[in-house]
Amino acid sequence: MKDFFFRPRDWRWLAFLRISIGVMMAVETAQIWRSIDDLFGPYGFLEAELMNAVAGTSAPSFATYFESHGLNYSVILHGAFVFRWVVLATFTVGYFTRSSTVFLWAFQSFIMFSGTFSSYGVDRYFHLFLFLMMWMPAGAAWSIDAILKGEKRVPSWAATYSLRVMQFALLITYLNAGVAKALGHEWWNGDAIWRALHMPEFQRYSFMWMGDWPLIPKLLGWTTLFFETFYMIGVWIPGIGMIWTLIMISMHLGISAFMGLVNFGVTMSLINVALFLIPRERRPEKCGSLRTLWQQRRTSPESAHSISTETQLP
Amino acid sequence: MPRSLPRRVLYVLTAFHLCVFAVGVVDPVTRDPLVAFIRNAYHGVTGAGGSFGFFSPDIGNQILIEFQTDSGKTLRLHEMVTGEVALRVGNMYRLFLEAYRDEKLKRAVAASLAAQIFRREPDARQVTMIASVYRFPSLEEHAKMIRPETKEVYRITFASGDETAKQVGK
Repeated sequence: MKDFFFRPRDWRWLAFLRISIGVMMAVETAQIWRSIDDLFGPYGFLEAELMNAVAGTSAPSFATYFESHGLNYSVILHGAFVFRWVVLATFTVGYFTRSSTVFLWAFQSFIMFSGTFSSYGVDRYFHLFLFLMMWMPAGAAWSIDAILKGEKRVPSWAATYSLRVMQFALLITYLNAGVAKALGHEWWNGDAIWRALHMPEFQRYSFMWMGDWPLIPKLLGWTTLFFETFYMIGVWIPGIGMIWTLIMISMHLGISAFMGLVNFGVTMSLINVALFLIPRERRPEKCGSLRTLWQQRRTSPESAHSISTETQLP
Repeated sequence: MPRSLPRRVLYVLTAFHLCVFAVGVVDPVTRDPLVAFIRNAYHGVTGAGGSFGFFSPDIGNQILIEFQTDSGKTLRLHEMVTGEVALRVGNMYRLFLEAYRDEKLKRAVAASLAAQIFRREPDARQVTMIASVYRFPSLEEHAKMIRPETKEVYRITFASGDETAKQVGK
């Protein structure tokens, strides 16, 4: 247990998570850029007064406030998002990482608080992980901050502890997703997969052939329930954990490809890579890197002999 | 294992956070307004809380919304934006579905969405919003040759300059 929480490791997993989240948030911002006024402005899809009535004080209300003071809300909204873009760049490359993380978390909180209908699942994961990253040295590796400070990758107990906190946060969401699905009947009889793939909002391809093979959507539904609900346990089982993570990643990539939820699927895949694949312990005798194997070959007398033999062959 | 006081505090705080998160995702009913306020504030600040059960417990039917202008054009808002924005527009449509029993709210959402069409089609004098429920059959129904059906559930026409949206909440 002590080893599980405190055995020193480096921060590369957090660096990968930081870069992944930074890139995906930047991509998302680019995709909604032309509709920022529609999503957050006072005369957007849901107007300020309607949002006030439904969800309380909101981003459109703040925009109205600026407008009532003679300021162009659209310029301010776009300016805020441009600044967010700049901060996303500094966050991704790890420059002023801590301040960047705090700003991004605050901005994301604002969006989540006020743009209730202008955000969806992927924004919630950004918010969740940005909050946790604020308390961690997100710029400790693969960052300009680390280069400028001349920091070396010193393994630390805090890296493992932080990793466990992040992992449990993610696993709680999967457990919740699995149990919530299991409470309905559509995930058990295959209708959930069948209907989700054919809802106009998500349909990319026709899967009508599944109607002739109802066992397939049923098995896919059961598989989803099983792997989501028991990910909390399965990921820690030696020899199975990595395969389990790969299955979760393939599920997310499948959602990206077949339901058009590209940002969501790619983001979830990257988070899984950061939290469960990068920190995975390597067994040098079996899974050493090519470089390590090459160095071992070069230094051992036997391998030196074999190399010289090989070189003589032609 | 580090045992200094600040670190012990750190362990307690992280355990607290994860526990609140685990309880929060279940979305328990809170009757005490103060507890509800604290819970919502904590959720709003940390992102820890609220259900992550997307597409659960069931998939349900989908609402389809389209607009017809007096010039005969048929427009769909979600087709006029990028895929990422369309997902958010879908959330707004679901608000309309949830507001089904609240006539005032339903009308306000309709007016707000129709206003977008007026902005995109400045020459339009009238915009009619048509909301339909798209029902995709279950596997069992499909086997019985029941096919997808679309049923119109709401239709409302707005004239240019209609102030309905601004009456919400009053």
